[in-house]
Amino acid sequence: MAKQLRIVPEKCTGCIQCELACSFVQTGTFQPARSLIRVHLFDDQASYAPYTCFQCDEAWCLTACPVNAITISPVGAKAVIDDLCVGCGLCTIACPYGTIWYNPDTHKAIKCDLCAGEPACAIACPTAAIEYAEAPAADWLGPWAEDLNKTYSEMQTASVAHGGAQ
Amino acid sequence: MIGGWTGTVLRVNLTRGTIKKEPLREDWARDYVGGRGLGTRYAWEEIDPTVDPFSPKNKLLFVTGPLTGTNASCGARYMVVTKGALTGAITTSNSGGHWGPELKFAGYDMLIVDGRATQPCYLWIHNDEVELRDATHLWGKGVWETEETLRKETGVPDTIVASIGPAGENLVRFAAILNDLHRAAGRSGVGAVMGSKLLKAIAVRGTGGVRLADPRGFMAASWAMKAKLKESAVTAEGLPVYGTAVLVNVINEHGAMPTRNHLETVFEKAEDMSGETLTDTRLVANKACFACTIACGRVTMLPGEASNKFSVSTSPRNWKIAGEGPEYENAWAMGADCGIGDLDALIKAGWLCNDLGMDPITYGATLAAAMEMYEKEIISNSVTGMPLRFGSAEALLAMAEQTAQRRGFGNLLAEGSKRLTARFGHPEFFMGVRGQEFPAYDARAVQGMGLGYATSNRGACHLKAYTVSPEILGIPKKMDPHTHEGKAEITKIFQDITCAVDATGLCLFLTFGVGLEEMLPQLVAATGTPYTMETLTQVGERIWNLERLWNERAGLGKGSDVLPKRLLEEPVPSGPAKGLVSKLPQMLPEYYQLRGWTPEGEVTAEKRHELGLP
Amino acid sequence: MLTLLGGLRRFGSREQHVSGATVGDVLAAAPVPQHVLFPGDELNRDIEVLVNGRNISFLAGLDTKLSAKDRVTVFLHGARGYPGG
Repeated sequence: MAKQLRIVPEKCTGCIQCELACSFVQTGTFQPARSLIRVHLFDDQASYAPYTCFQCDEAWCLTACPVNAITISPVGAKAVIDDLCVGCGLCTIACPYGTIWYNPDTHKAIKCDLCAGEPACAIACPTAAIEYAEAPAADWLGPWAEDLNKTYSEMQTASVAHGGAQ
Repeated sequence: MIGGWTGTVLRVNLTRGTIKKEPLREDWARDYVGGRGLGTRYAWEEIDPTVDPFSPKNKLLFVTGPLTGTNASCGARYMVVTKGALTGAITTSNSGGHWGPELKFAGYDMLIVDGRATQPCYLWIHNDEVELRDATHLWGKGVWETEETLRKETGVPDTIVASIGPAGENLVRFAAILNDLHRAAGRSGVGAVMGSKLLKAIAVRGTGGVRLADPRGFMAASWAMKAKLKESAVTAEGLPVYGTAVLVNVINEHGAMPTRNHLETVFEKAEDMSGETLTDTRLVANKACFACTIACGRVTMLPGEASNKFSVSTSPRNWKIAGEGPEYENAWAMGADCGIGDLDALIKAGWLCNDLGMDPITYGATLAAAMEMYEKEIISNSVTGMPLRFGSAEALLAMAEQTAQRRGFGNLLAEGSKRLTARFGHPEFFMGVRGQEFPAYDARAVQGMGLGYATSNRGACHLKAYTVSPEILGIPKKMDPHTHEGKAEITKIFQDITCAVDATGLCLFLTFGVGLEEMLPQLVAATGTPYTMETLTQVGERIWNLERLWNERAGLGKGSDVLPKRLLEEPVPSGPAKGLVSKLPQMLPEYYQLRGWTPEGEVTAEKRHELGLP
Repeated sequence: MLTLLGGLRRFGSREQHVSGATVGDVLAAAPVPQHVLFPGDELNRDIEVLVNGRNISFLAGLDTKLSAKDRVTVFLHGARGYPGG
């Protein structure tokens, strides 16, 4: 089984060291706006969710690319071949998770390629909320968000019942 | 350009409505490193020490450090430098969260705000585009609603906001500036200075990056320091699991917890407001600032009934389901110092202070002084509007709102305890130095802290020389908290080192786990400047002396190195520190000598020359 | 009376009666595992022990004599679980 980035949002503290490490690999500077992993800070619910491409089986981006610029790398990641990429942006539309982006500086598509087997974000994470482990490619974000939404509405209802926050 | 810096300073004049970009003074950046140091150097140049803090001529400086915005563990910090509304002293107030890094990413090392606007406004910084916008519709709103509104208004969801609440707008002397909802430049009334300028908020979004001189060397040094942080009990488990409130029981067991306006030093209800109780009953999760490995933030909840136990009128519509805090200091000031052990009250009061935008330490300590006066029948219901007895959670919550809005007795509390107690003819009930109230360690029980408080440039403060580390926690070595020997030396060392840390942009809590030695390689690799431990410590000493010189011009120099009579003459009545008074008179002369000052405590010409001071 | 703070409470309750003539005796009888208190020959350098609020370093160390009314407080700097844990 190929290794994937396994994300455990419960362990995330929102420190965004993953974003810093990733942007450092991409640009040689600290520039979260260029990171290929992003952390959503849901301050309301005290939840923080790192998310990036989880190398889905459907490979929407790869299928959508008109010039075959996305390939499967030796570590099993969907990787953009810069020389072939023409910057059309179709992959960014095709990806249902929003984890492939267009870089306006280089005019290329950018996405997580698992750092060729040594993902910087997993190394950087101080709480092991990101692990590089053998796991099936899975949309962990969907079910987790659904769960979170349910908890949030329950908390809202209980709070309103007690005359609290609306 | 020195690594870690963008090279650009943003200068905003609110009177003229002008926005200018100017080059960073690289020589000052080199000699003062950044943050607190760089801010003080600019303040020396630009802020008249005799000016009124609310005058348009007072300036607000928001200063990052070279490591702000980098992966250096805890590279989140920025410093607000101004003439404090509470104290009139040089004020350096530090905050974390994400705002400082965002300013850097937008392309600016520092923001200087000058003058006064004609109507409420906010500053919107979006990379190159910087503009002043009308904030009339925001005036009166709490910090949380302001942040939410501005994120929608700018159209950029990742906007980070620093703002003031009603307390700052109403010039409450100890109003704070909040960013990321719960992070604060808390003390000395920096929020009131911002309010006096009619500046409601500074919203920032930056998509640039921070460039380093030696990126590879930096990363190696950064990983090495992170590994050390994982080895320390405080930074690896204590702070993440229990937060700073882990100190409640520790300090109380030592009999060093100021209780009921420093009348006693042991609080019988300490366990109820401790970190252990917080973690067991009200904690939801811990939280980190930008790039932080420690994650000491407390995300807490007040479930159902607990949320409505107290009658406050601040609109619940603006309250989220989970808030943050309490930290050790606000649990103490609003808890033990007021004789209150109700954790839910402390949580709620803490959220109020964050949303309304004021310092909970000064608020709690001021209320404590008011409570003492009430208990001693110096003031009564006709003045206060309601009973203010020690232990009253109702009073705590009600007065927090009144203070922020300057309503009723709150209008008097809003002046801080020095002015409050003087007004009623009892200045001896003011527990502080240079107009600022003590934090959570009794100077009689922790002797070194007494010296630190008395000589702190911005007023009584635990952060500027945290000798609790050796005196209570045994870090880096054990010192007896009850004796005064060796305290002058350790205080000076801590003061200088703390200045250096505050200049880098790193969080002071790193020092629970590592020393300046571990931070140094990152600073060198980031900036490309070959600092050594010796030159970096000298930078610290330089900063300390420049602050002192500024204060001398403001009339807050040597004559202000005093402690209240209660600490010098009233022995601790009970507990482990029973019978002790502060031995400040024995420590101060030695301290002046070690500093190389005159016996009266003035900076000498030789010292100025030695440190290359202006 | 033996008082445990922070993470040490996973080993025993907040307060409990433990008898001993000296601090060393009380620690030997304490619910905290011996390998946590004494990872080597000496007291864990991350652990502080107080008698009535005074650090034993400024009393007689582990030989500090105790009476029935004395309060012994044990805490870790920041209250970690156990070394390496």
